[in-house]
Amino acid sequence: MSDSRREPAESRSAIPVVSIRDVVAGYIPGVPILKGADMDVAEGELIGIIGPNGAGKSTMLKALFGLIKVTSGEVLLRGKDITGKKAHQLVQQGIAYVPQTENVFPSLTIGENLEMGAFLRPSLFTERRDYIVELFPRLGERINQRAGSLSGGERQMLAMARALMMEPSVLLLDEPSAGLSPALQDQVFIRCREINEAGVTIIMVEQNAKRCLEICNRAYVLDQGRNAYTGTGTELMNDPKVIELYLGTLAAAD
Amino acid sequence: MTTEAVADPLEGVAHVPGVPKPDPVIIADGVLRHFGGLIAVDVEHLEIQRGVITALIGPNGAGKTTFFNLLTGFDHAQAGTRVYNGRELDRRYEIPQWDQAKSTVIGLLGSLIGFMLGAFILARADDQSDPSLTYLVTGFVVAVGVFLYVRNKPGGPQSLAVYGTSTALGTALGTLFAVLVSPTSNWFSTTMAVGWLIGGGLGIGFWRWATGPLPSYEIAQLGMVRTFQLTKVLARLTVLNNMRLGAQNQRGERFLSALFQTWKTQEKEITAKADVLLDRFLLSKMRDEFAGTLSGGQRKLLEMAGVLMTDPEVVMLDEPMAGVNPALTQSLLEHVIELPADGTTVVFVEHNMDVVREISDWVVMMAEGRIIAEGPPSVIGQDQRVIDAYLGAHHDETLEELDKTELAEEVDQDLDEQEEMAEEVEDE
Ligand SMILES: Nc1ncnc2c1ncn2[C@@H]1O[C@H](COP(=O)(O)OP(=O)(O)OP(=O)(O)O)[C@@H](O)[C@H]1O
Ligand SMILES: Nc1ncnc2c1ncn2[C@@H]1O[C@H](COP(=O)(O)OP(=O)(O)OP(=O)(O)O)[C@@H](O)[C@H]1O
Ligand SMILES: [Mg+2]
Ligand SMILES: [Mg+2]
Repeated sequence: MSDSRREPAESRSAIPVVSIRDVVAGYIPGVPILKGADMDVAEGELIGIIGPNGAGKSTMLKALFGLIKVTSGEVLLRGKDITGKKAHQLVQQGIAYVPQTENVFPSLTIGENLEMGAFLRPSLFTERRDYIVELFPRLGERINQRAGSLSGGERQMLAMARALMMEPSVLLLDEPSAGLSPALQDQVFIRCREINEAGVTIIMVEQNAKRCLEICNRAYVLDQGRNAYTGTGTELMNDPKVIELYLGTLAAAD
Repeated sequence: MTTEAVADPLEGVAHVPGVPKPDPVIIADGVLRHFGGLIAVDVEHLEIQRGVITALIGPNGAGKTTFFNLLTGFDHAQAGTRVYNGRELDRRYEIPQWDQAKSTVIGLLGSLIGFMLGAFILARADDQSDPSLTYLVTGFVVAVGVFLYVRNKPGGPQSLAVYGTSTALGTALGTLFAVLVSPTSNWFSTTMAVGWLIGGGLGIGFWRWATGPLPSYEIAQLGMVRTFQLTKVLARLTVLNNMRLGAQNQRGERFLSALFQTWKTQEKEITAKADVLLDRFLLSKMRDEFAGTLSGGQRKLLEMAGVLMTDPEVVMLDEPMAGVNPALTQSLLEHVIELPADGTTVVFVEHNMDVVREISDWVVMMAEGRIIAEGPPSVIGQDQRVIDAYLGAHHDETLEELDKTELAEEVDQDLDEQEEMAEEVEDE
């Protein structure tokens, strides 16, 4: 396969948008989950994070988004230290985050959930909503349905849609394709790439490693709270060690 | 697909929706569930073969989870029947089929006994003798009215018969009690009335229980267990205790053998079994942690390990591998594929087609609540409707191989089509 993966946006500045340096973080004092993880993301890059269950992938996104306490190391946003900043401050700096679970307001309708997503820039609401409805027609048809009664996949669409309501400059996605039908999974990956090409930096955790490695510029393999491997998608996809330990041969069989 | 030496039990079964199977463990017939105007499940007929692995696939919102809920008693259908292992799950006991004359006589009699007894007690309590006739006439009118109302409902006359008998029995007991305890006339009416109410209440309760659907926990005890797409592990219990809880479904069944075993040895056995499973699901390290601290994928794993604690006859897995790391998925599939060898039937919902192709013997495709295709995975994977509605045209290609602009056009085209369809539906 030729390396058709394009370089990220030309206007790439020298300072990474997001840096994680030797970060140690966890949920309970004295029990670190991230044990010195590193990551550098350039402007306009699409970064994948893969790894075993419980490796600390979601924890990494939470540390980045100010949801858990970082005990040592630093998190930088465009060179500025944001370690210890709270999530709501980071939202205002253009970071959007889609959690892995509990990512919609179950008692609100689809429409209200989308409004919550657009609270920073209400003026954008109509335009963004039209875009979302085009991306996920199902959400448009069911605008008044309570999010709690949606099917698993419909919920996932709504979670992603909510993050897209605010035109973020950095998008953190925790398993955006989980629970979606194969056709929709492909569409989500294609749209992610489109959004990325429009200049949005994306960091996505994925278990659909096959598709994730196909579209990302670079990826990190996380294991037990540390970086295990990093490289371009193609490199990782063809690395026998990575295949054995993380990818398996099931997906490659066809 | 499994490659056993044994003959494929599904060989020769036609690839058409609703086709009968040689040895079905589950039969769903005319099962309908709608939420307001939205038809979530409308399954005309589906049989699930015993001892094989059946995959249920379909677009998001097709009704797969709702169908699982209906089969396992977590939700109730508006119509239809479900049979598991030859046992009807919608009715604990079969309602006796009376002919027209018999049901009229017995039903009317039951209604008259129940309501006229009530009227009689009220008249007696209200001791001016004049209005008693009014009471009795009213009681008669109500009795006939209620009978006419339920006459044509399934089980209607029977339920009136049960009601009449039980109120009569209740009143008799109440009266007897009054005679024994305090034979003053004032008390008499009150105890009779209390007896009437309790008897009638118990009768109605009994009837609802006897003719109602089996609740989810009883279905689980019969050997049909399931996992949830949005996991339901108990956050405040440790991982091990969640596993032990899984074993409880089985306790009832094992009651006799449990009597001869000390509680300790049984506990030990269960714990040993849990440990074996936790090991296989890579959760040993988390054994004594609260389940609430597990990562998303680990919760999925715990949920699946939990149902295997019971040695179920049928396991229903709702997207078991969503969020599970690919390498681990592969090793777990080796375990799932062995389940039919012990006679276990597996039904699973999954969006990962690699998994579906790898382990399923039979695939059922659902769309908009209906079963639209059935067959072995190789056939279903080629079915044009399945590709259009579910897989997408480019499922087997890498996204890189596709010309981007072409793809974007196609996506837009798809969306237009979907919009048109949506509009058509709206027009209807
Ligand atoms: N709220 C919490 N409290 C305590 N420990 C937690 C909590 N959330 C996660 N952990 C632990 O942190 C570790 C890493 O969890 P994390 O959610 O980051 O994993 P992950 O890599 O995202 O896994 P998955 O692919 O299964 O989602 C796990 O061992 C988990 O038990
Ligand atoms: N309580 C409810 N009220 C209203 N609509 C509901 C309710 N429960 C489910 N639905 C709708 O019924 C449809 C079927 O839902 P179901 O969860 O069965 O889908 P599914 O096939 O499991 O989809 P997925 O693959 O996304 O999990 C969906 O469109 C959903 O929004
Ligand atoms: Mg996670
Ligand atoms: Mg579902």
